[in-house]
Amino acid sequence: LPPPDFDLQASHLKGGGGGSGPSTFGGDWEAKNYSLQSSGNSRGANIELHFNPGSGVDATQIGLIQTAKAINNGKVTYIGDPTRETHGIKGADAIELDSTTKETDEGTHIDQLGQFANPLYATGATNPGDTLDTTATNSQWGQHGWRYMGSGGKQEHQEAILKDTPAQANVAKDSSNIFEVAAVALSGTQKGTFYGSVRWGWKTDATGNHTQVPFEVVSQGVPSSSFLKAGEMWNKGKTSAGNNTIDMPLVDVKVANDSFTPFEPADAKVCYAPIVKGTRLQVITPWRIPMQYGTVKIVDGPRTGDLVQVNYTDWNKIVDERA
Amino acid sequence: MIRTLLLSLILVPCCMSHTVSSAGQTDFDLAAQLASADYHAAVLPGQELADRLWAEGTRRENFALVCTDTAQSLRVRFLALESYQVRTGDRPAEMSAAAAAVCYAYALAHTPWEDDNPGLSGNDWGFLAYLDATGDTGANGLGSRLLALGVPAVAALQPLLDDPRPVHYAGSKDATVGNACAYQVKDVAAFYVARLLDLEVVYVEAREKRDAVIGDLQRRLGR
Repeated sequence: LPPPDFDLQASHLKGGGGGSGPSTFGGDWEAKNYSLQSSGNSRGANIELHFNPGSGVDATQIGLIQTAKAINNGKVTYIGDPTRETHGIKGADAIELDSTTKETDEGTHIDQLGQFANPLYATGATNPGDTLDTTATNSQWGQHGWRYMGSGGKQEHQEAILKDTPAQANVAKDSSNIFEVAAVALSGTQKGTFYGSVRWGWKTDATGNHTQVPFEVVSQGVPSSSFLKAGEMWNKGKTSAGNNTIDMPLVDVKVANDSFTPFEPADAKVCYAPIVKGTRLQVITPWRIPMQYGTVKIVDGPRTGDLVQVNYTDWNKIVDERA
Repeated sequence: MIRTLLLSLILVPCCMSHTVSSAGQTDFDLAAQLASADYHAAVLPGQELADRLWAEGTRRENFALVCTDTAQSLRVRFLALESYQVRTGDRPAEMSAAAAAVCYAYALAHTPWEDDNPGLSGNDWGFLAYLDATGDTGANGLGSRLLALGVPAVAALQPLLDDPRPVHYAGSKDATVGNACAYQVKDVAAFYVARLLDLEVVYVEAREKRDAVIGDLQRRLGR
């Protein structure tokens, strides 16, 4: 998908921060009934995850997409329909997530039944001609949300919800199931905009301790590199019946491999504060000769949404996130 | 003499691990490894153990012998049969459909998450009729291989039509979807019996209604 044709800045679009859970660029998150489940050698968790769109959101539908990664007795595993494995990040494409444990993102995949073509968690079977935002949801799995100004100036508002009860058998030790959930605008003014992502899940360690993964923010805006790579695999993939999957929005995220000070142009709708090493960015206007600068948007962290103009002398500091 | 005998005892299984004797004896090394193996690790291509055991087909006959050796446990014979079927697309020629069905009935009876489960879950049998409207067959790979056995498989499944133990689904959304169906062993057995007999199968949400349908099926089968 092309970049959204609007310029939202962090000051326009922040979660209200009034909820009991974490907040991201586009709203507040809450994990209701987040608990561990175990029986014999099976382990799992329950969650009802809510995303409450903030006051700056303008979207007629907001969906939740979840990635999953499962470890069974120390090994990456795919559970369910074999199609899932074709949607997962392969070992050769994986990147290291933790330099201490050497854990990678191998196996991360979009959490959807192999039979279904729509990546949005709450959706079920698609009808011919369905698009991302038209597939019906099932209340057993959740619902889409929205926030927009309706006719007559009435504020329309609904939380997006995801209900999940993951479980695995024979995983009393060295196993886990970890999820990242992102909220994305499906329709309306901000179509294609990511409002942030959160992590949850469960783990067992070598001694058999079964613990919840802390419910916390992964990204203030565009979800993690692992999530986006899994999305790329999904978009290229097929359902178990061999049909094309419905594409999910993706962002080609770059990262600043060194700090730099933005270019200061005559007009003033951009941010001049220094960009620190590691900042995640989306290229809006690439720099080309003979231009003085290119434009990027910050897609994660406290300045999510800010536009930045990058001097041509610093353009080589913007590199692929998974490089 | 004693030393020679001991060496023989030790060496025989090793020698037999990659060959079949002219007498067609069971590959004890293979059987022993299957006895403690997890279903997915031992059977599915691409899994380290499964690929090592299959050894690029050089142990094909060894697997066939384990399948048909009634001295082996049903767990071992089931895992050997599934490995053979997954790799070759058919059961060993020496094994009747009815005998193969006994192995699959064993697998279904051991799908509930109890201590003797060989690593199976509801996922391996599919969502049954739940996703019929999507064109899904309802049967995953394991179930489709059971269906390929045809009508002779019905007799082995029939005793399971009384089994109310829960069948659990693993995964994330798969678990959420499958476990909401609250299937029992007898639901899975009934689905496959009906498919084998080419009877119509529809998803019924209420367990009591499903139980009633299964009771009707049992009567039709002559119980």
